[in-house]
Amino acid sequence: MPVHERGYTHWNPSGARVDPPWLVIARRGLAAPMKRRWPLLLLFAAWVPAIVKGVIVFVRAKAGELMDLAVGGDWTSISPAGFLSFIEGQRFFVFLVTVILGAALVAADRRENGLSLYFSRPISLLDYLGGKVLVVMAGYAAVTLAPSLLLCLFGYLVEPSAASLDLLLLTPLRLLAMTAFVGAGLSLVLLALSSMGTRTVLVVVWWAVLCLAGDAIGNIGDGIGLDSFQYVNFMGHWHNAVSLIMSSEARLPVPPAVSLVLCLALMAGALLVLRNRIKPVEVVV
Amino acid sequence: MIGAAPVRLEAHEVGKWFGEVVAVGSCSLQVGSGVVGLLGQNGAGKTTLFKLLAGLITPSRGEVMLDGLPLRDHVGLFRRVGFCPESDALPGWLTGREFLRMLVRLSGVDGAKVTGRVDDLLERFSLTDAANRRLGGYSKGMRQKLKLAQALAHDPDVLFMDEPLNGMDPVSRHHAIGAIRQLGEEGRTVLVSSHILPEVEEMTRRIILIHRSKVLAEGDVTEIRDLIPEHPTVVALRCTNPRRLAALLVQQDHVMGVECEGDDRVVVRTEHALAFYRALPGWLLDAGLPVDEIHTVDDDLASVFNYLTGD
Repeated sequence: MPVHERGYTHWNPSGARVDPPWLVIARRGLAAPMKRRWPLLLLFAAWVPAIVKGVIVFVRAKAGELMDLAVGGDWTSISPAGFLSFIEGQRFFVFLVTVILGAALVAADRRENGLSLYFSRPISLLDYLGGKVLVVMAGYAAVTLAPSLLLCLFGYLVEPSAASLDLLLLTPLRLLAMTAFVGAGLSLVLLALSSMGTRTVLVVVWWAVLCLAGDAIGNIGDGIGLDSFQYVNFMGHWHNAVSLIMSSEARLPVPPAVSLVLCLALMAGALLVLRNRIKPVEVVV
Repeated sequence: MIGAAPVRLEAHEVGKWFGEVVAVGSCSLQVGSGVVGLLGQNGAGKTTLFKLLAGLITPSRGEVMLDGLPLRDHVGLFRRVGFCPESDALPGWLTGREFLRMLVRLSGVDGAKVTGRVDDLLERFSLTDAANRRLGGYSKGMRQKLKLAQALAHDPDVLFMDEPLNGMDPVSRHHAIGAIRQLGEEGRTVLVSSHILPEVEEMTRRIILIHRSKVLAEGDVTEIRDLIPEHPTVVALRCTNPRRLAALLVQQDHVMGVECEGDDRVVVRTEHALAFYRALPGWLLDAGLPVDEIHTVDDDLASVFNYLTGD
């Protein structure tokens, strides 16, 4: 008759400090690429435009409107619309950072049978997805939200006034809302691509097609006067959809509401794909 | 029920099919504590049943219960479950320590106890020296040990081990078999899936045999063997007077045939080995016949497996 040792039931809730699973997954997802030097260099490079913008903000504050003539456009402005322009300009870095952080997130788990290891533990699909989405969103925020928020603070410090208080209150809220929507949407789509197979390189190719080729096709359409080409501008739709939040004019010759519907449909589709693909099915090789 | 009371894991008419392919037909099981081998040929539905019981896949019909609660509906129940997958594809970019740390944390172990727990596991599976090496550089045996270690990360009381000895060298294999037996003796439920019968036989005599998507037999190997009338059990006895022993045995119930082999060996075929074994001492004592050795020729796992599956 075996001795029933019950001393190992220490997992019963006892007020112990237990990290939520999504946080453990997110932390691991972020720690791995940060061990290497080049993702850090890329993050640094992604901040160069913000530094340039900061310098322009500073010089304009000192040299007046002359700078607007020299550089011009929304990009130099520290208004919400200016930040949307700035974030649009970051799209190449967004592509690189998200693909580095997110391309392998589900594909590698499928390849390395991580899914059966995850889901044989007290982890729900929501925990798993939450952790993975957080990894990509963190990367997205690092090259868009974080420099924008710092520029808000910098802008206020350069020209402190009652009017520029908006930079400390409303603009950060708009930026947060925008980042939450675009970051979550891009993360879900990227993760859905990542869940479609086990080869990371294919995810990179598809993400490049979506982010870069869509943008290029849209621009070609602009060049030859065909607005309908912009319907395939994947990144453009996200920025167009949030143009209302950022009090900006539409970023595409497509109504923002249409872009919003497209983006929501993409998110719903991505969630459906993820729900069907993330299963603890072991691939024995 | 298979294993010692109380019932811990139950399957109620569990079935799984993929389109028109039935992977597991209607299957009902009750598993208590101890080591239980899940056996079956390739394609028999063993892996699917294993994953159904482990709560990793949703059954097409029926339900799997852990201590009376549906496993798939209570994520928290997985705190009591450990799973060792078959494949040894592990994240090559993580070190052994990082891998275990993450899985220990994910299992809901108190943050303050994680480091100690990881160190204990590394030491228990002789992986301390390799703890800070990347998994990409681990040998197959080391990966196998790490997979066993992660399954025990949170001291679960129900363990699912899919081919746990794959790729291990003989020494590691011996230790692992000992460790698995010990887990069963501690009162845990350990379900081991394997197609290597001698390995399973070293761990346990309790089996679930799946064949062509159905559970063909469950229970102790000897008891199952006793329930196969078309293949009478063959018992060999060694004694100094085989002819007298043969004459005695041929008159008894349950004995279907007796043969003398050589000068000191009698081979008996019995349709009911357990009853035969129960009665044999009395017959021998009454007749005053000494017997030097008794052994059953074909109640091993391989024989039972072959008789039941017809291979």
